[in-house]
Amino acid sequence: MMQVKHLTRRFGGLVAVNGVDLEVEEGSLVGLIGPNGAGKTTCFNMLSGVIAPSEGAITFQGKRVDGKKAYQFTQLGIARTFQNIRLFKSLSVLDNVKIACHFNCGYSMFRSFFHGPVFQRKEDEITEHAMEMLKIFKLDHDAHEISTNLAYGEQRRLEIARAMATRPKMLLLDEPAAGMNPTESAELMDLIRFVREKFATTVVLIEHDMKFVMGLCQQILVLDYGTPIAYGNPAEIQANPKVIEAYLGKDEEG
Amino acid sequence: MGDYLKKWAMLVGACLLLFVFDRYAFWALNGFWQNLILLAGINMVAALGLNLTNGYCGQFSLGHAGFMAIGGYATAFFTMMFAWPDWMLTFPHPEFPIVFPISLILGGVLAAAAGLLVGIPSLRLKGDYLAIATLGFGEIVRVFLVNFEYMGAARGQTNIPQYSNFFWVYSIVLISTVVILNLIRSSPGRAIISVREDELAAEVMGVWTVYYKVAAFLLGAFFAGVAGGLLGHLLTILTPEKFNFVLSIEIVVIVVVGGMGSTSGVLLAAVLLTALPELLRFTSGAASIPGLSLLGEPSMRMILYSLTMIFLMIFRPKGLCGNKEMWELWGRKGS
Ligand SMILES: Nc1ncnc2c1ncn2[C@@H]1O[C@H](COP(=O)(O)OP(=O)(O)OP(=O)(O)O)[C@@H](O)[C@H]1O
Ligand SMILES: [Mg+2]
Repeated sequence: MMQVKHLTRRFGGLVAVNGVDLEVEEGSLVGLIGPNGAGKTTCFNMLSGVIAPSEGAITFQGKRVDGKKAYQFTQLGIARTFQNIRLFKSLSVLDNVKIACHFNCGYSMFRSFFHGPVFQRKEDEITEHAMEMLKIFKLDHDAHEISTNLAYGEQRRLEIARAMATRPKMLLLDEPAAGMNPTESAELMDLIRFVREKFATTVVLIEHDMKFVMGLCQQILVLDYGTPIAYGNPAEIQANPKVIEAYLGKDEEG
Repeated sequence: MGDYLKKWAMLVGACLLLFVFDRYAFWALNGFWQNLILLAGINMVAALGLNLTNGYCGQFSLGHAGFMAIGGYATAFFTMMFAWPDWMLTFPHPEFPIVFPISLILGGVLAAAAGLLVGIPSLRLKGDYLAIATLGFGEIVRVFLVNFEYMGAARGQTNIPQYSNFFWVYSIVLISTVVILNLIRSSPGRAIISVREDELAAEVMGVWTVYYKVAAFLLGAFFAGVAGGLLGHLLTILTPEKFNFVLSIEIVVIVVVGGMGSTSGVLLAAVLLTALPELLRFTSGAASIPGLSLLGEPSMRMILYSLTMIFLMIFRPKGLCGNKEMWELWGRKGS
């Protein structure tokens, strides 16, 4: 589904991501881990078009996509969430999700001046789709609440619901369980499994919670200082001496 | 379907009522009040437009007077100099010629075209930089008009027919309000708001943010152009000085006082801020407190005006209505 070749990003002298190769199979669940500052989020920023790679190529469903804008990535079917939650703060939960339905709304700006029958029908479809997403993420009761009034865990779920509302083929989750308690993150694991199956979505996720990653992902890529150091299934990763070194080395410092 | 036609039929009905009021009641008011009411309406149209750009889309523009100037001069050109067939100047009535609404729309379209022209390059800028760029645009328009011999240069364009009346001004206020509220309660409207809320998140949700920024800017310019056209045909004279940056600031103040992103708040603020300086004229004589009277009458008026602004910003820092509509605020209190 997605091929990444020699993906590299430099910030001045700093090489944040250095030669990442990755092949994401359709329907797979891939984890991206590594110590703080390893370049995971930078990788996601490139995979979602938020920043352009310095070198390398991204191919999605057989088409080169690097160089396109973030909104084009989303329209092609790559949605993402943010590590530091970025909701539309002063809007309602429902409107947050509706904005994600925008590019599929099916009517022109001209029609929106008049609120005619086509508009009404399409708008009802949008509301229905948005409510369906909220129901899956158990946020339908808060649909008319202002999004910042939600609890932290709910805000994280809303971000995923909003990303899913774009009808993505591939979903990038940047630390979806950060700040959640064990019960919440166990629920989230089930939820991710559920939407992946229901909507046949390919998922790539970044997470520091090892239980979460090892329990959920089929393949895991490990980054250290921007460089990929290991790739394999959870058992292989846990036994890999380089990975242990990267993480233990960090523990000694801390 | 039926509901939709009923709503638009009601709008047409409301415009007819405005027409009846204009013909049979409005003339009975004295000239001072007539002028005030018409100016308030024109400010409403201009501020509704700016509220799209600054309030809903969050792109802080200080060039609104420039778009009003383009619309004002263009509309005057079309009603006065354009070679319309004769019947159009008197149909359906010499005081209500069909050329006026047509020229207003053309003026708005020209202002919108200018909006497109400055919008595409300057909307790459953010915050203060955008404000300065648009301020510069307004000044360029003014300086151009000062040198525009064809329409009076610095003396201005005179003898513009006084076509603006209660009917036209308030029908346009009504239609603009409905159209803008409709836009905002739609998917493209939510896309415009998402740009203000979080541009990066909007982009990642698939919103082509550049397009919606330009669209909001262009629509804002259109309403500014129409307001300019109405203004010219009310005052019967347009000078480049009328459209200096003070006018832009006045419209910005209306939007800020009303609440950025509140259509009803902006309408209310347009009335208050048009009326306030005029009504303070009455009080200024009586308010000559010993010591302060030294400053003279007009200064007293401006002090009161400024104090009102300061108190307003202390007690309602997000404007009268914040980013809510009046009825939403009332609904909340009731429940
Ligand atoms: N826009 C930027 N400009 C300059 N440096 C940046 C930028 N974005 C990231 N970096 C740097 O790139 C490196 C990788 O950052 P990144 O956010 O990708 O790490 P991460 O693996 O997501 O870390 P964490 O686990 O803390 O989220 C860091 O050293 C960071 O300071
Ligand atoms: Mg990160």
